[in-house]
Amino acid sequence: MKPLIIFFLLSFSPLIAQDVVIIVNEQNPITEITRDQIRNFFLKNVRQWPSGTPVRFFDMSDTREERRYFLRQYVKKTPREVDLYWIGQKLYSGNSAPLQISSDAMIAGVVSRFPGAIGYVSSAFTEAPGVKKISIKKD
Amino acid sequence: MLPEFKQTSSIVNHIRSVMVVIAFFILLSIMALYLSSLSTLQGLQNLNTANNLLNLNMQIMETVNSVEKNLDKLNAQDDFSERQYIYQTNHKLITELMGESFKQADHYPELNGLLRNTSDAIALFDAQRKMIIKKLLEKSAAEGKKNSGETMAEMLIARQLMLDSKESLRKIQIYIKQENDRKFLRIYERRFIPLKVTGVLAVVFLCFVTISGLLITKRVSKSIYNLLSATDRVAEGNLDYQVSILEHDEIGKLTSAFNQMTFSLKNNKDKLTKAIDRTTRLQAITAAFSQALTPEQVYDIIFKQAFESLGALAGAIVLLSEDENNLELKRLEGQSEDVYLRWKKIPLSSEVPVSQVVRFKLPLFITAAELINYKDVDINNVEISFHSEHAFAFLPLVISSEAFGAISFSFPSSKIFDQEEKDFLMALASQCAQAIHRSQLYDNAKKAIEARDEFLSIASHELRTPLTPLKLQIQSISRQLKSGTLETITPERLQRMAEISDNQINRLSTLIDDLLDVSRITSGKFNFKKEFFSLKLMIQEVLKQYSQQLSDTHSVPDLVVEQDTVGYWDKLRIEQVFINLLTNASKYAPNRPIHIRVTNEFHLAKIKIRDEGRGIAPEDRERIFNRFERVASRENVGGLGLGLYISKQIVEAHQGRIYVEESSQAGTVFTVELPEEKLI
Repeated sequence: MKPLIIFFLLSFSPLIAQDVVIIVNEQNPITEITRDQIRNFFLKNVRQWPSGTPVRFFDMSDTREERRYFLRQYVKKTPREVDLYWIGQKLYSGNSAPLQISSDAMIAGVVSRFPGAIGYVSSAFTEAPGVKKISIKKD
Repeated sequence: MLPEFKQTSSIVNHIRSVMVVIAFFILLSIMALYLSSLSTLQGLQNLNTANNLLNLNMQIMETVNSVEKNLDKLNAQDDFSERQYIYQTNHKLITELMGESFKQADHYPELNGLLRNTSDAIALFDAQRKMIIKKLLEKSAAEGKKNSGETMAEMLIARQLMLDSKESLRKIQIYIKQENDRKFLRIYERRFIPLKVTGVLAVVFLCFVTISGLLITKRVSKSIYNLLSATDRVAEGNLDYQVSILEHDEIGKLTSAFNQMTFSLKNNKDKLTKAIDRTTRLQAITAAFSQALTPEQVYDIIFKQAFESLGALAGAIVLLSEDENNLELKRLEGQSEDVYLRWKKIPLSSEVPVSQVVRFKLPLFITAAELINYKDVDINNVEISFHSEHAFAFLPLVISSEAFGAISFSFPSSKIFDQEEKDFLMALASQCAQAIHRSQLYDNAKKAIEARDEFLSIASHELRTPLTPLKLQIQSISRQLKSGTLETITPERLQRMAEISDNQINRLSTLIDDLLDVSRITSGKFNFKKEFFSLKLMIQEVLKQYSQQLSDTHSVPDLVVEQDTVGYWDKLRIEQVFINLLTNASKYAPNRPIHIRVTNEFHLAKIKIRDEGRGIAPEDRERIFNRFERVASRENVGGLGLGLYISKQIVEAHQGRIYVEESSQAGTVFTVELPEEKLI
């Protein structure tokens, strides 16, 4: 019931949308990323970085507005579509949805612990040890 | 030589080999069926393994879920020892299940990566878990029961790791399911393969059995038909045909036996033809012989036949001489004069083949190679080694088991005498012997008839001769009686007439006595009255008695008695012999002295009477003692020619001998030898 309400709220308040920043582990050599890459990493279509390190995507918990924005902007799916997608993935490929973390600090903390980690935080997020922001490469 | 035949028939052999092939085929079929269903069996086995793996996976999943649940509860709980125990138990279970999974996943090399991921994730999670608990313990010791953000992050990481492991496990599940589907599909798709293989094998098997059966039948019937066609040919009379042997088995053996049969049939036929041929030839020879009367004609036929039908190069006929010590060559064909001279007369005792043949009455066949073992004779009858390049056949001429001669034929050196040839030659020799014998008999009979005819004419003439003067005297007296002038005949003249008549009558009676003697001798009624008498006295008496006759021919007897013999003989007969020889001497050598010598050498009384006439040729010395034989021709000297014959018979009846002696002096010497017979 709760996601439905959120969805309802979100769909009727598109202007509230907040911008997000993509962060990776600081050991990661890349400096920019394309939207497609982000999408594929999120949907677990691509499981490895070009260097060979396994990709670990950390999602934001769906209570936050930034997630909706992220999904629309990068994944081009609604949260509901994403949920359905993961149900299907669980059945056909075994892939499970990325771990959802509520706070930006926690996301940064987890990303700093895995070399192939990638996540997104709100644009308000400043700095954190072991993480670096990367820019979106224009197509 | 017969080829070697197997005891078993080719049919049996073929069937046997077909059976072996069938057995082999069945074995192969079983193997093919097994191989065709092997993949199915393996697929089923794999499915079973997959099932086991899935079970294990579910258990691991459940355990991981329980671990997750435990992790959620970690925040609220104060006491970690129970949580830790649950963790450890679960972890142990997971490790065991993972090990089992690794073992089971041998058939799925692709799964190993996923399993390893899972176990890595679980190991990382375990390490994370330990660290979290450690931190929690430290925190609880330092700051009481407050969870810091750091611990929260660690918890999140642990959760992420958990997620990773669950993901891997799920992937494994999906993979196994897909694989199982694929496998099942494949098994399902291949469910008809064993059936198809069986069908194809059955068809191949049927074809093989049918074809091999047809082939065997064809092959076997082929050799039988082969034999059948051969029997047809033989039935048509073609004995030269030999059947080819197709198989070395019973039928082959039968075929070979059949070939042998036709071969021997052909041989027998040839032999029969030859035998008929020889019989025909022998018949021809016999027919020819029946036409031949004289030995010369017989010889002609023998050589003609021998040269024509036997292929002889040369031939000779030798016959035993009258004294049976020598072989005399009667006829020689196809040889040189030199050989004729060498073989003209061969002693019977010599070691040359022809003498051996006559002695042993057995034929002798000598091939060119064996010839060096035999002897020949040279011109002086000296034995020399046989040197020739021919094969020889020496055949005795036998009549009533006595050999009286031999025939020899020489052949080209390549000649080999087989039994048939020998038999034929012996048959020919037997025919020749009979023919020669017959011709000799004919010759003898002819001669005897001629001699008798001559004797008859001589005898009639001789008997008539004294009758003419006798008749003349009697006619003269009867004429005188008719005319009545009997008184005009002077006593001297009458005396003379009586004497003439008496002489002629004596002559007649002598002739008749001779004829009687001959008839006695031939009928074997020649009797002797033996008595002792002196040869000398006997001769003196005869000389006195015949002095008138001797003086008529002006023969002067000259008697020399060196040693007289008194013997036990028939006096009248010995007297007859002496008178015969004496009158002969006076008859054949008139106007010459007659030398008479009486001797005795080693109890053998001898009377030698020598005239000084023309003498007798050596070749006539034997002949004159035969009946009706005379030295001089009939016209010159009268007489029947019986005197010497009778004399010889008389002397031989006394075991003595009468012969014409070789003499250096002129004239003829007749010697009479009489054994001095002892009184028993």
